[in-house]
Amino acid sequence: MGGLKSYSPYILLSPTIVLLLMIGIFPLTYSLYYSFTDLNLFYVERTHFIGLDNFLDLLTDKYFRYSFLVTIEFTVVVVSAEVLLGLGLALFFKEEIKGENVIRTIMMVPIMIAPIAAGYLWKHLFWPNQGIIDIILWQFGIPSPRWTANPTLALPSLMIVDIWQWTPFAFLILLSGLRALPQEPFEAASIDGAGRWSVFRYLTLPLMKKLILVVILFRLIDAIRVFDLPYILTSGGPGYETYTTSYFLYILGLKETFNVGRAAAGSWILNIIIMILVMTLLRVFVMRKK
Amino acid sequence: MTLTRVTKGVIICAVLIFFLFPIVILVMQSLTPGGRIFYPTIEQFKSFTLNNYYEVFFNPYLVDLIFLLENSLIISGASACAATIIGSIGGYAFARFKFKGDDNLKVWILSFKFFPPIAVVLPLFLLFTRSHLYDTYQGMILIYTVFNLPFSIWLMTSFIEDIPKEIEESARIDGCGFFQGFFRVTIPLTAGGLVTTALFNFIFAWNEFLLALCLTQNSVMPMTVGLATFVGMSGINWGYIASSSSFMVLPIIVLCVILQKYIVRGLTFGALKE
Repeated sequence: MGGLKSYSPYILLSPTIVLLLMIGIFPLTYSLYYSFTDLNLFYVERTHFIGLDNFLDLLTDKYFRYSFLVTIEFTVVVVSAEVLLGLGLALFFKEEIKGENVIRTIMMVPIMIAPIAAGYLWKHLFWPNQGIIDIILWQFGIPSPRWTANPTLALPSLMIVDIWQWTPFAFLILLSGLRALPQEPFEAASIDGAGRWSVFRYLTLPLMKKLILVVILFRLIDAIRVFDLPYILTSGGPGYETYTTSYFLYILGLKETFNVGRAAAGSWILNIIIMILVMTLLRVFVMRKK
Repeated sequence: MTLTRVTKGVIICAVLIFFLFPIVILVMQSLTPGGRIFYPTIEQFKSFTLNNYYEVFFNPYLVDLIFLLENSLIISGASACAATIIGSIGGYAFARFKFKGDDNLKVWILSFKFFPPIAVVLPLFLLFTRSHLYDTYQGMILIYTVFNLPFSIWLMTSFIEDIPKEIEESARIDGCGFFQGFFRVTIPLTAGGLVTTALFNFIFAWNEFLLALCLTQNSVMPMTVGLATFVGMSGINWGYIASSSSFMVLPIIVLCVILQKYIVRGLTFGALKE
């Protein structure tokens, strides 16, 4: 644009860049620095540079590796469930129905409630014997499965909470995407007598691919960092069944052993994995061509 | 294969029950006297009271919810405004200029949103205690502003891109200066975008827990951290948790209902255009 050279975009972006460098880069660099030391909050004065030891120890630590397995299991299940359910619901609600605003408003509540409040709410619902879910099961003569205290059900319980909270997110986005699709291909297909399945498989799905990938990207990043659900609902237990990586690092660095150096190394391993995922997905799908 | 009316009705009911049921329980618990687990009996339906709400606000032995509400409002409100203003200026740069490395810069800015908060909490704690920002409004407003900036920039870029360039150009031909054009033409045209961005920034700060837990103490503690104080040594007081949770989510729901048509775009960083 002519006549605007003096207000170059760099000037407009300078407040952002300064703030991000000050508050964003500093803590990241600092944590990278002490991921190479044995900094422990109990013995701050006895801190040494120990090279890559933290990283090597973590990669061979069976609890850290187990926390990764837990996180991956959690992420894969909740992201696929949320996307599939959200897509199913969006297809189901594609035609406008009476009272739709009410349904959309109801679906928005789980997204808008504070994650900590949602955590306590579900802790209440899952409460053994006295929680409402167990009361209902008891009416049918089913004994309490002790949701979050049962080693096989603890992680699925957290998954249910996450699916409850974030399926509406997938639903709302995919619904407005479906409604924005061009009508002509669908009309042509129905003239050609295409079946429901083939319309979905060869028209809807390819047209919605990009949007589905956006939903996957956002949910993937959130799910892989999950912290508040194990923090509130299970404290990582029973045993190590719900130690997600974020929660494991919190316990390692800020709660029990105060081994800050090693926790920082672990968070950098997690960072790097998330960055690789994000950059790959972003480059391929989200960046709009100029 | 067409779905009959009955099947459709059943599916709608099932969906509504799954998503609405927990919320109903939350509200009912908040209206039930005593802190025991909610158990729906006829007596309890009869004895519904607002006592839990009264207690969390006025009981001097509990955490002072009015004070926490004030803190949450100040921190969320100020940081939402700051992030929206800085973000709209930055978004304008991305939407209206093509410059070297703009795509890379945009991704770099976005990448800040994806770091696990757990990685930065401790360094931030050390930084804040040393610079006397720990447990102050300034510190919390600063940190939430920075955390919301990437989102604000992405969203505002997409909103400003929707305004045809020609409108700004014709204003300029009519003798409008750059700043005049920005404030008199661009900003009013993107009012909906500004409101959406501010709303999402506000919700993020209002609901955030981990940073608030680690970077505040008594003097600026927000509501999310206060909520956790109802989980005491003597057990969890569900009545207080339910009433303060309901109270926390209510203003957000009202705002979202009013601004419903902008919400979906806000949820995806502006990646989806409606």
